Amino acid sequence: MTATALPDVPSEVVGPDPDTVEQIVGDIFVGLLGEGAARPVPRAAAPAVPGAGSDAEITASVSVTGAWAGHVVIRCSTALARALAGRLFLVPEDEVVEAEICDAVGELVNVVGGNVKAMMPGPSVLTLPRVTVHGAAEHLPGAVETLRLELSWCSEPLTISSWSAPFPSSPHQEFR
Amino acid sequence: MKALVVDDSRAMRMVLRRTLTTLGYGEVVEAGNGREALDALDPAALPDVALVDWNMPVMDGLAFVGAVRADAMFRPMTLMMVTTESEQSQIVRALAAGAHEYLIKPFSPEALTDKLALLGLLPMPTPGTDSVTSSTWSAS
Repeated sequence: MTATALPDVPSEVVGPDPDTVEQIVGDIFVGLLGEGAARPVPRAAAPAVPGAGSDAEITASVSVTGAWAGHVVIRCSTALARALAGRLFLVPEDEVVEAEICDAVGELVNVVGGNVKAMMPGPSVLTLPRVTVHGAAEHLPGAVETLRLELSWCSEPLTISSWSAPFPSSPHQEFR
Repeated sequence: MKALVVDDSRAMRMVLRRTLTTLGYGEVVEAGNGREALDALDPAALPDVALVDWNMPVMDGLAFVGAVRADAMFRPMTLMMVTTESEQSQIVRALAAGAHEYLIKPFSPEALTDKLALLGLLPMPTPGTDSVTSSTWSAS
């Protein structure tokens, strides 16, 4: 179990199983990057690299509306996003452009979100991903955090969270 | 053999293209949504298989499958949904709309290979040919 304990979550609010989500995140990295790819590991178990993991500049999210309403949010460093996009698009990390970062992290949150949606009561609908680069964290009014996984990939931070909305979430601007 | 990959994520299109190329597909074409895919389909040179995401802007994968199945000219083309939509009800919807197979993301190359084998859509390896013709209809 690598989920961060969340205070003040009402007992009636149910979130996705953290171990299952962690497994899915690992499967996504392997599926995208190939069988030999490293899987994200719990952050506490990640090797300490001075200066690494200090920034969380990319936010990607999807929302679910329906029988269960909520959001799945991924936050990561630019370095992680750049490394992921570089390996996906087979370009050197210093040549990765923002569109490639948005595409790579957007697909990551899309697949995590779709699998979280499947774990929760349905029927429901998944939005397209929204990705913010160097922006403020998305404001999710009234939502209660039900899951937080603090992971690390290539010594860079990767946070996965799910949020249960108190009412059906509204449409958002889509970035793809 | 020829494949069509319909997904709004360029990253996913690249992942699928790599696997298809490794399997021996000689031509892999891409579209960023269902509308682009429909606009570019040539009845005289249909792909053997289309790998179709569900959640896309403009025209989603389910609408694309429905449109393809409504047109007899496109009937020879095999349709496989490749999507994060994994609820049983969604799978039933896609198959009822005319999809032949369903692959849930995340997937491994082996899982895609197995599905294509089930459909009889694994190209036979041709010794001495390693060139791949590719074209991109639109990159979103």
